[in-house]
Amino acid sequence: MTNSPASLLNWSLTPGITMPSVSLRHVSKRFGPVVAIDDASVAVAQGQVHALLGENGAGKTSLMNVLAGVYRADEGEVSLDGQVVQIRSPSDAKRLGIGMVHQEQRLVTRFTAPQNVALGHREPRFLTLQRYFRRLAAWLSERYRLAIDPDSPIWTLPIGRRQRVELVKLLHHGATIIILDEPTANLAPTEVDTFFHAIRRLAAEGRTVVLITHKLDEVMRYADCVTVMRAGRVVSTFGAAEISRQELVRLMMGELAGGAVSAAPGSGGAERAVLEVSGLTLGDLHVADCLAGVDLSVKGGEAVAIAGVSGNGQTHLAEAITGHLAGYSGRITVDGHDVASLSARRVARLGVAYVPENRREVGLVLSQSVALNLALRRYAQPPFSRRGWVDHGAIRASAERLIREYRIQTPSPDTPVGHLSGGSQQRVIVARELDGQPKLIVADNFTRGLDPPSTLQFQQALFAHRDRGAAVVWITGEVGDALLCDRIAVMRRGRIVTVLGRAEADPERIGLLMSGETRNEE
Amino acid sequence: MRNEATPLIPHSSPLIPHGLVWFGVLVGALVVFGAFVVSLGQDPLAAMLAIAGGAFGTAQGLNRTVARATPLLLLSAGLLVAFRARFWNIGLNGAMFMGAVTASGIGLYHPDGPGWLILPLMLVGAVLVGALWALVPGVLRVAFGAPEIIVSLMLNYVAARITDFLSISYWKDPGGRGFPGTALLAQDFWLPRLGETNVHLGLLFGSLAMLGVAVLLGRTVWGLEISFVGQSLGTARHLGVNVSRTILMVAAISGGLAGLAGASEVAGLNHRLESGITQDLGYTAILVASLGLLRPAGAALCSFLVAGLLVGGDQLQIRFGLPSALSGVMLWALLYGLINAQALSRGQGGRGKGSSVEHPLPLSPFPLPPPRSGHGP
Repeated sequence: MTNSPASLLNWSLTPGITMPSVSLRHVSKRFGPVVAIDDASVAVAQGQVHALLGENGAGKTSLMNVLAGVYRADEGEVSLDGQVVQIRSPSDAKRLGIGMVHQEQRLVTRFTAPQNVALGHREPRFLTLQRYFRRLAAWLSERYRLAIDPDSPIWTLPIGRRQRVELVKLLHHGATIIILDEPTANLAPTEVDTFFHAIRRLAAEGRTVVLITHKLDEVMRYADCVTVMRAGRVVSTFGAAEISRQELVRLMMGELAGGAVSAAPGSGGAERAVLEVSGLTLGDLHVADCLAGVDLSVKGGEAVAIAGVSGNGQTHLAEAITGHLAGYSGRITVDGHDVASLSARRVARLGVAYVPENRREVGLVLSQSVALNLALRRYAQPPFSRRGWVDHGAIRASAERLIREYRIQTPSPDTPVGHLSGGSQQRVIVARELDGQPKLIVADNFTRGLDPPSTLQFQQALFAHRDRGAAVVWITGEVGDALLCDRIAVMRRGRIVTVLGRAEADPERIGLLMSGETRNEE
Repeated sequence: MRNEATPLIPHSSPLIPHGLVWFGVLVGALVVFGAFVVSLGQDPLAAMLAIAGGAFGTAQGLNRTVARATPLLLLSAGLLVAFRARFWNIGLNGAMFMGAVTASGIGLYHPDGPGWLILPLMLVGAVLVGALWALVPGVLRVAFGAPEIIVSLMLNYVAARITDFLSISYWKDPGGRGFPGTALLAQDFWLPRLGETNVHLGLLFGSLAMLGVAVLLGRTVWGLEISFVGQSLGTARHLGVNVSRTILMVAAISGGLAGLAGASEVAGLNHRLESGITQDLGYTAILVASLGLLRPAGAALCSFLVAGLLVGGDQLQIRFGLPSALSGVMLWALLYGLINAQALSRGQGGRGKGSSVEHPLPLSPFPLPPPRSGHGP
């Protein structure tokens, strides 16, 4: 049996062999002005499934990208089994036995699974690949219950299966430290269990597994250890058995900074609904990021929080309301107008302000001036332009006012907005959207990435609009933010799970609802 | 790496100021040119002075320079619009050929028609055909994502062969012996000239086109949308700009102006269609627009400078016995330097991944590798 896959790969690691335990010390990584990782230290023991828990943007993936050689850390060191190592590239990482299954897969989609596995690998050199791989596939499905179709090109496989190919590829390349980035995001619930069975088995054989996730359930059920990250920092590391879910929620979401804006409850109620959403459905209902029959009604003078972990349909909801998304079923009306028949520009003219989540990509024209960017939403309307002619004077005048009012740090209104810091760029967008007299404001995580004083200022501005009579939809992953609003709609897997009044909401309950801990709620 | 504690606005822009880039590139190109002249055993300074004198120093030189600058004005005006939207239309030479073909065809088939009717028809026809010619890469890009650089470039050869074919077959001048060209157009169809010079009405068209483009880009909503499409496609879509329509419009404008350039060469200067009538000015215009930093005033100025260089280059041969192609060395050294300066200014500044401060104006259509991520100076 010299040619059996097991012997070729030496997969059954004998327990006696020492496996490297991973330790990252004081790692920092900045992207220009954005601090992705801030002095993070983590130690992972061999043979364990170690969860890295945190919200989107907490720095989990960036930290693991440092380990996998995708990023080079600005500061800090990585050691394996006590030895400091230099990981300068993914091939360095591969040589050291580190492999990462990225969220977006890096397979050649026209190739079959065996061809992908063989890419960048020398062995087996003399065997016919197909025959070898059939044996490997059979052996894999027997040992790990990871069945793989050896004949179909990757693009015909569902995402979950592609991920499996990626994992097998890593193992085939000899990875002993395996990093999984949100591996269950694309798996059906039934597949999750199978998948983790394989992962546990790999760990039991002596491999080290790092599991990047924001799902509490996975942590509690499948991980040995958990490290919580927030805002680029490591909060703490615990054994999975020694910490409660509630405590994890609290650590993950951050201190409840509710006191910052002492927003009095809105006076709304008397007025009619500005926004009506009924039966909004969109996309594949098995994917978390769908919309599955959302009903929502927001009155003038009322602020409603859409609380949820990012990637549960909130952004699609925001895009649908603001006219950036078509092809949904259900009905959305703003101020009595059916949004489905209107372009995004028309919806904006109804008085809908929108701070998009992916504002870096779609909110600014970086090489244009701050002034023009401050006018971007309304550049085609008076006073900024008339009959197709642009009034640069009006744009500049309005910009000077906004720069003063919102204390945007820029040398001049004519500076290209790309030269400003990330925070200032965000202030440009938020200032632009909150300016004027919008009837409805859809703010998608609009204070993310802002420092506390700016956050406070913009939250105050938001609630000032509500007090003026605007309807506010605030999409947020922060429980503390949600609690400032008049009503809190918790959204998960494309559904509004619960709507709570401000009085009946407590942070813990919202946190549990967001992360899918049902506790008799459904 | 910038210190986090310093003000977040960099005091010096991460891009070298445009004027400085230009000056540096010019000096570099002169040095390269001078090196060539020295290697051929001549005095570089005298050669440069001869070029300048030949282009601008004499009435006849000036006359030829202005005539040469006329199509460059039209072509580069169209290019400004297309390049601002990052529609890399390299096919102006082809559109210019097709404009020339259209204008001369209309003229040749109505030799007795009244000038007041046929001449405008020739011009309008040339604009339309040029626009349609440029719409081919535009439509393919919008519909299928086909790279317009390749499509438009290849169409140049098609247009050149169409011109060759017509000028040696159906439209060949019966009295022209072996010369590949049509007969002269009726004099009624010639564009009026300024006195005894070669300066014709096309100069007015070119100036108006450049002025129109300046107004379009600087003062209109539509000009803003063109730059949004060019500088941030995601934002343009988000704002509801009709990206496809914008691309088709810039394609049509650049092609239409190139067609007009072809017609104005036929009706204003050559008075006949002949093989190679564009003198590859459609490519030279790319240089002109880039050297003019994609600004109307810059492109207008560079139209005359580059035309002067082309015209004055003859002096190298006449006075020094040097190949006149040497002025081409200077031209393309300029472009080469400019592209490299652009690459350098993009790469500098220590901005890591995620920073996508594009050059405010894309200087050239030539794809550059993205700046190395992460490890700036």
